[in-house]
Amino acid sequence: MSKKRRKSRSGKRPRPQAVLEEVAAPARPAPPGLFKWLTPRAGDTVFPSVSRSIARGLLVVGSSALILGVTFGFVFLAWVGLVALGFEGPPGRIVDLAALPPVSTYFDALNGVGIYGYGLAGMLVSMGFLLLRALVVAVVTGLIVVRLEGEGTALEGLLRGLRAYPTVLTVNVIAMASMLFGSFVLPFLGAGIGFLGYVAILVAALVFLAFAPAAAIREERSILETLRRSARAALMPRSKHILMCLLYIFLALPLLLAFAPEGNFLTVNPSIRAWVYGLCASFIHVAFLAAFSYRWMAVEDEVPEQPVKRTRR
Amino acid sequence: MLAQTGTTDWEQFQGDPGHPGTLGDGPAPPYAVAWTFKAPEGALSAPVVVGDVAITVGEHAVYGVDLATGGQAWQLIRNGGPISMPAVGIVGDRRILVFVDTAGTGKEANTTLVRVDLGTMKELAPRTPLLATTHGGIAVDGGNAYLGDDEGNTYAVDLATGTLGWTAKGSGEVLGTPAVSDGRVYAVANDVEQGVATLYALDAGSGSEMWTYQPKGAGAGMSVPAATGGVVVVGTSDRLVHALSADDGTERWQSLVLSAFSPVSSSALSSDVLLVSDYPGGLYRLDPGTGARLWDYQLNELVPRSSPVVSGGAVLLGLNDGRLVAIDLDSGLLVWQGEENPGLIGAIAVSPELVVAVKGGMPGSLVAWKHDPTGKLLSVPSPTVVDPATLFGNAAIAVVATFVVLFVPFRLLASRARPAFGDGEDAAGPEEEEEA
Repeated sequence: MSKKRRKSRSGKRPRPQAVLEEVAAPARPAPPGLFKWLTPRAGDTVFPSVSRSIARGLLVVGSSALILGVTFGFVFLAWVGLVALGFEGPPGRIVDLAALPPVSTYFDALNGVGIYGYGLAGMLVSMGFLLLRALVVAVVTGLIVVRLEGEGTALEGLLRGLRAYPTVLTVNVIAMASMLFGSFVLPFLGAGIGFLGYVAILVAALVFLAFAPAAAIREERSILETLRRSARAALMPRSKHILMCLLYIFLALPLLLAFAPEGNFLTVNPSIRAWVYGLCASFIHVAFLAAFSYRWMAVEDEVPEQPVKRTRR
Repeated sequence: MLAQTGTTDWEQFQGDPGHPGTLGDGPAPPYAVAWTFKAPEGALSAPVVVGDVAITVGEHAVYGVDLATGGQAWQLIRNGGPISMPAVGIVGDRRILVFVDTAGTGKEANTTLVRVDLGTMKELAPRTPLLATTHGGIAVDGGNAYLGDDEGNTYAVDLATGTLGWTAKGSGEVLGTPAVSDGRVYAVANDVEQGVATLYALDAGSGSEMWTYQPKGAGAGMSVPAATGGVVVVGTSDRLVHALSADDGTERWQSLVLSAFSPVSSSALSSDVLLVSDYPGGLYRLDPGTGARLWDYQLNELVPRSSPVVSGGAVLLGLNDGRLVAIDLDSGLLVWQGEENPGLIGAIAVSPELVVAVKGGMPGSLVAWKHDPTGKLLSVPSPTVVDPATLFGNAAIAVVATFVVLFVPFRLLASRARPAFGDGEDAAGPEEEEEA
């Protein structure tokens, strides 16, 4: 293991060598043609392309027995836990059990009020789901980051994930607050504009918060500073970050849900088909988490420490 | 012991003015179709059962259907208008059929309540004029008929004379049949424009407003009320079943179900049984005293126009896919179901021998089922009851299969791909990395 990867005195871990540098001085021969597209190419942005990021995310998650196991185990336990609390389906909800905030936040709230109604009890249970959600996202991100770094043990990933828990919890709370704000304000704008506004809130929350879990694990800064840096990274030019967030929202909400077996059938005993579909969807969610983490790690040194002030010509 | 209606007739919506929906000595499942009566034209209303006929309102006639054969026993000409459920009341020794008739259309429409003496089959004059057309059914109690209209009015009409006793104005549409119990009339007006629903408790004698109930934030879409023994039960669109004190409308309890309710569906309420169905097909048995859920059955099919009815120890409900289903009252298990076919099953009436329900479609029809001693009883739990073998078995198979299908190829791919971040010292691929 290289000493360069160890935590520095400042608390920030050394950045993995930049993608562009890797192209300039490849560590080993380029992979055969089939895998060539996984190899970074030089460009005018430090961000890996969207397709490469997603491919890396799929690879990182799919090739890790531990991350797959944790994801699938969480999905199963979450379903059993919901059923134990009185949830009666439908199995279509499995599809988004492992979604990223704010998509997951929406479903946590939906499940909370679905079981306990729109009153205080439903809200409190939704908050409980949110606490658990933050824990799972933090731990899985920790495992993903360690795997992307190419060194470190699962235990280290777990501990680093736990240390990032306050930040990830804050991400979830902000997502929940945004949705609550939207649900109070947007109905006044009418059904059509209200719906668009709701989608805009989801996309905006994802855009500004997507990098925060990985940033918290990598840099171990204060919550506020981590959130700021996540937002600054999102606003970096030519990142195509919004495109990737839109792609994720589109996948997570209409697309995956539309084709879910037993989508609206109320049952607590999903079929094998429904489980397989839900687990594959969970794999995609976590792969996107890995893709966002990968992108963060590729650009973290380029993210401005202060807000970029634009001057008028 | 189930509370029973006073007679073996099913003279109005849910069998009685309080909407108990119960005929204890009605036929028990399994059932077989006894007959089908097809409307000569258009749709039919939900039926009432009096003596040996089922009575239903059609587009331009009211039909009496022979319960023994399903053939048409008689018909009364009707001008037209919305099809709503009739009722039969008793005045002295006379049985009087009441139904709504509308002559003309648009601004020229003239809606009246028609009374017919079932002994002589003669219409009784005068007809009672109503202020607006109506889609809801008619409740009869103590010599009066009570009904609501599409402009929020509730009426009391003397069955003997046709005199309009009183009219009470509400906000919205009265889509369902009012409930009557202990000298009070309960009518729900759903105001879609304002997004509110209001339950009005009116004095049956004077029509004066005793109290109203308008749950905040629940929106429009309140179910038809049911009332007995000092309690009124309604469902609201925020998925809550509310039990209110008949005295002052204060809430005794509320119980959460999975979904909202059809505005034309009522619960079945007696002193010891409360059955509620929600619009997407959830059937719930609640404790009438506390609202605690005793069981529920998710039928996974819409219930747009039917209300639960108890017959022979089973709860009957009509579904949007044309099935009539029977759930055991005690266990909550599905014990019988009819075949799917086009046309929803609406409100149900029960006689000692038959279960009669209206079937949607054009033309509409009445379908009667009788007890079938050769039929098979089922014992199917709700899909929302945990079956550990299915739940854990299916999940285990799926987890293993999905894991193998994803992990093997991606592991192979990872062994040939370059690490995410390389610096020359990290030549080792992911296959050499350690996992815990």
